[in-house]
Amino acid sequence: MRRSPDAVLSRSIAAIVGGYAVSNLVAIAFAAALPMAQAEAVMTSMMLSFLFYALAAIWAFSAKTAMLSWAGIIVTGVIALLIWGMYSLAEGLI
Amino acid sequence: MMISSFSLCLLGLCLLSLATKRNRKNALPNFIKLSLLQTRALKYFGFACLIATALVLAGAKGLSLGLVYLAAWVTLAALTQALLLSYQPRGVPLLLGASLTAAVISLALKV
Amino acid sequence: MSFRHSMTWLHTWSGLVLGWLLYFMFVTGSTGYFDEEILRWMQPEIPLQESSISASEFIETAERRLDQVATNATETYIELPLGRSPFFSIWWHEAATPETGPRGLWHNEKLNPNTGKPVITRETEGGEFLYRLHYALHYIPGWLAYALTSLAAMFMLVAIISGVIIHRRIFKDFFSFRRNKQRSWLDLHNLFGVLPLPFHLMITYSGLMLLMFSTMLPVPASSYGVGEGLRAIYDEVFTEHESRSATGVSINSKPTVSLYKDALKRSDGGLINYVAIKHPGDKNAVIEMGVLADEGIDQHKPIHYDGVSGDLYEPEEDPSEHSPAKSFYDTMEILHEGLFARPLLRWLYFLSGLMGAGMMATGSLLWAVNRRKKHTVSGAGLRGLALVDRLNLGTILGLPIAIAAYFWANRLLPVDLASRAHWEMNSLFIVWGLALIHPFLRWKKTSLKNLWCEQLLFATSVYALIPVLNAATSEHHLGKALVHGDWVMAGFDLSMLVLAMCFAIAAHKLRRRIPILGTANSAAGVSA
Repeated sequence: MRRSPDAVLSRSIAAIVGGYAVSNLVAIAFAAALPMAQAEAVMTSMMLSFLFYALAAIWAFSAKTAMLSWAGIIVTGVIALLIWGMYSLAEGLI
Repeated sequence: MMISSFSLCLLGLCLLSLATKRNRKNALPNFIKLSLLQTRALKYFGFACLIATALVLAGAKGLSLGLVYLAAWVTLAALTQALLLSYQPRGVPLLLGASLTAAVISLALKV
Repeated sequence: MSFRHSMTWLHTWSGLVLGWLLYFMFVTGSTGYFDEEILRWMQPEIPLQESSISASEFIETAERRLDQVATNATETYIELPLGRSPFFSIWWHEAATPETGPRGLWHNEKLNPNTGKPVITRETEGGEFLYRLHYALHYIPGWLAYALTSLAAMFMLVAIISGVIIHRRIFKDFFSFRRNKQRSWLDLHNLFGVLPLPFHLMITYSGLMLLMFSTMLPVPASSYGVGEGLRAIYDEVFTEHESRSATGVSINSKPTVSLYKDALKRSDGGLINYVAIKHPGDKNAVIEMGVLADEGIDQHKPIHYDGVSGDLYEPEEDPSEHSPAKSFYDTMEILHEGLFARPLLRWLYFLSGLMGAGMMATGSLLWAVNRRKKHTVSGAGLRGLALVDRLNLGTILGLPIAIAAYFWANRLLPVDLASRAHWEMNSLFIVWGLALIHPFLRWKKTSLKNLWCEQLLFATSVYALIPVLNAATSEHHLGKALVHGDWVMAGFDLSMLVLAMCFAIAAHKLRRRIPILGTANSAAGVSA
């Protein structure tokens, strides 16, 4: 059995819980930003969300440190939220 | 075009497996040392056969269904290769000959 | 830690943690490719199909029965025993009332084509139960099952991606996949993973997509909120678009048999395999005839007629047909469920699914073997390993034994037992429980290898005897089925025999191996 990465528990939570959160947030941002009909955009983003989730999990375990893995996920989530906020403002929804 | 596409696929995978030194050692009675060029040629012909399989299938069944069949054929042919290489490596050159013959005949007959 | 190392670690653990659940999903999901065939075997009351009956006769018989039972139906459906379906059945929809609920109620009868009377079949969930297990599990609420199975699928997706990263030189490794002189579990694991890789990738990702409206709710909720708006988009995506609604004016519909010949002409050589009538007996009735496509992801369009005049009718195009996202989703669903596949391809799907199951099983076994090697060097922590060994056996062999028990229960449980279908389903889990307990009970008395042999022999017998069970408990048996060309019935019995043979071969091979450490109560036995 190979050596395990540092902070397995922390990274696992980042991957499973953080990954779910960030994949949803990125998908929400996509749904807002994609230049197509609303229903189209929502469906497309939902279908892509699993790819985001998988990438988040891979990031969580390949980042150099556990802190870095969390940072990457949190930063991505925040950016996604900002993008969603921007588009929602533009549409006068908020 | 099921038989011709499968024979082509089988042929391609035989060529590809023989391009590896370790497999040649097991499969061929006298270990034939091939030059780099010859190894490369085997690989290219092998991939060319796979591409030909894809084209035949796409022509016969359309693009989407053709891709599905391609995946299925490669899985089956690869399984055959894997079993042969494990249990009866001498069988690989035989399979190569058989699939070549089958491919030529079935393509001619458009089967 | 290098990228490759971390991916190797991730691949092992993501596969291991949910390996048993994934094994369960692959085994039960694979049976789904034959769910209708399994149902046919589980309803032996359905008589042998006489191949001399023509399609028009079927339709007339069905319409006579529908006239008797479906007088106020809002929709009727006749299923002909063509193509994949071995059933001659009718369906009719009762309108929504306080008793039937907001969506109304669908009724179904399987008909005897010779007498036109309904066949009284035993209450059973058939093959669909096995198929639904793979995403809806059992005994737990739906949302929880979807979350667990989707999580397992996500773990597998990560395992696939990390696996491909580890095996960058996939072709080279594949063609020299025998890593040592000895064949090992790792070789099999690689074989089962790499060979059907396109299938695995497709099945995992499409499986996730099929549950996405349950698992990724925040996404549509961000646009539509929760509640009415969300239900609206759900309905828009999934409900069939009604092009004509009922007027309430009663006019007798044209008998469908008269239109059958015309439909055949228009079908480009395809056979008509279903007849559906929307709003029968109404001015706006529409008769729809389904064309059995030869094969293909783009299914043939059904042919529509005006129910009163018999003229050809072109329904308005479903707006979702222009939606690329919806089309892609539908294509993924068709690919996942293999709906388009003819027998050969469906068997390949089944084989690939079993290889997926084999991949999970060999992965679990491989992990235990590696752990054992490490522990016999260091001598520590054997208890956890012993647990894994026993659970491996109880799951890997226990599940197939349990599925056989489900078939046995179908024939042995009394036909008029209350909640019969539930007891059939319970039998699967009861027997699985017993298979899981068996290694624990006999742990001190014999070696792990012998425990595997015991269960393998049991599996062999329980599968080999199913054709005998069939003959003893029904009027069908393998000989008769082969003679009459009843391939569905014969195929089931033959498959059971093939499975029995596989277990027998495994038992035989296992017996001949010399165990590394053969003492009675050590966690040893199954050599690498």
